[in-house]
Amino acid sequence: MKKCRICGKPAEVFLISRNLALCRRDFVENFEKRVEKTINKFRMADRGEKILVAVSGGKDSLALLHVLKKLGYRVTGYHINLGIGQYSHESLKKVLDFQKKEGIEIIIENVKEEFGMGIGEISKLLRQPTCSICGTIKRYMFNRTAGSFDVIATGHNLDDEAATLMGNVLNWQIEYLARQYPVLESKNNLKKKIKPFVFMSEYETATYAFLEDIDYIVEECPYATGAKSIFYKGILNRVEDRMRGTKIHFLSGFFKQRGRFVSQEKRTELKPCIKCGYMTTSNICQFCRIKEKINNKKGGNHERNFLQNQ
Amino acid sequence: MKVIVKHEKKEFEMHGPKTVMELLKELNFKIEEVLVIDRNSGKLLPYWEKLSGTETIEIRKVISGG
Repeated sequence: MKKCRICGKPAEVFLISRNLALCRRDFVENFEKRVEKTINKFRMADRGEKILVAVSGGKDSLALLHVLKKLGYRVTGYHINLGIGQYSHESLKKVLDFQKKEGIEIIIENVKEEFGMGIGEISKLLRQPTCSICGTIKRYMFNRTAGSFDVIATGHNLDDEAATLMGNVLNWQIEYLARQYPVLESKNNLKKKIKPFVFMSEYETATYAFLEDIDYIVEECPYATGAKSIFYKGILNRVEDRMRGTKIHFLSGFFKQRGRFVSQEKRTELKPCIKCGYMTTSNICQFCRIKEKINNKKGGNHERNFLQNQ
Repeated sequence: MKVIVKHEKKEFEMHGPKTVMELLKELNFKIEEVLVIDRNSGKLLPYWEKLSGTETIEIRKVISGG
């Protein structure tokens, strides 16, 4: 049996990469201190600022909303019902239960109300990859709701960020590398974006959520099966298994080198979408394009059905 | 002992005594890929913990993504 390095009581958690055994109470305290340290180090937010936190119903986002509130930040949650069958029902239930238990305001919006159909149906109708459509829609709706807030926060953790970095490096995505950072300052009408869990491993956020009695959705989005990010995470975990601390060194080392990519970044001019005013690189933003395509397809289908019924 | 692998929606019986580390090896999980929870006490079980064989154990994966 190992003892807690801080208080000497029997340890309940062991963090291999940090060779650190902790009891329940000291793990929670240590986790919260490290989150606060990250927020301060990158000047992510002040306690007076209004933070909108994206919540999916999973461990990271609910744990983030919980810890930020506990640390005294002004937080509101934001959940999108993606209309992905049972998975979305379960996610929404977890979010509503969390809201009731923690007494935190959570704004809820619904993809079906926007488009008349869920993410899966949109993807099928437009014959576009589900995760790509989902990302575009979520980003737009989150940014749109963020209007009256100072900062927007997401629960991306160390494993998410290391996997993203791996994908960006393998494909030499210079533009993406230039934008991968724990804090992105407000620009072009878009709010400041922060990732306070950037140095917390997935194991740590799951442990924290469990120890703080946060009931989250364990099941994965059905469309995430076979996702590249999960594949990269698996590879990084295998490397970590042989060489402790690899993930944190990979990511923090990159943040120190990131300036090289920022200077190579193409300065793309953004302009307001002619339909909705959202900042975009072309005349019409991706979100409005999706809406247009759906309306065209629906119109086409109605026409076909009408002609077939004649 | 009863073992519940939540993310795979599987439940089965395994014999004890064994350590959490041995249990994970048998099931082909790495230590930090999953949480091991004693359903009766509601405690997390670190890898050195001994299981007598009478427990109800939940194994919950931590990796998510997409």
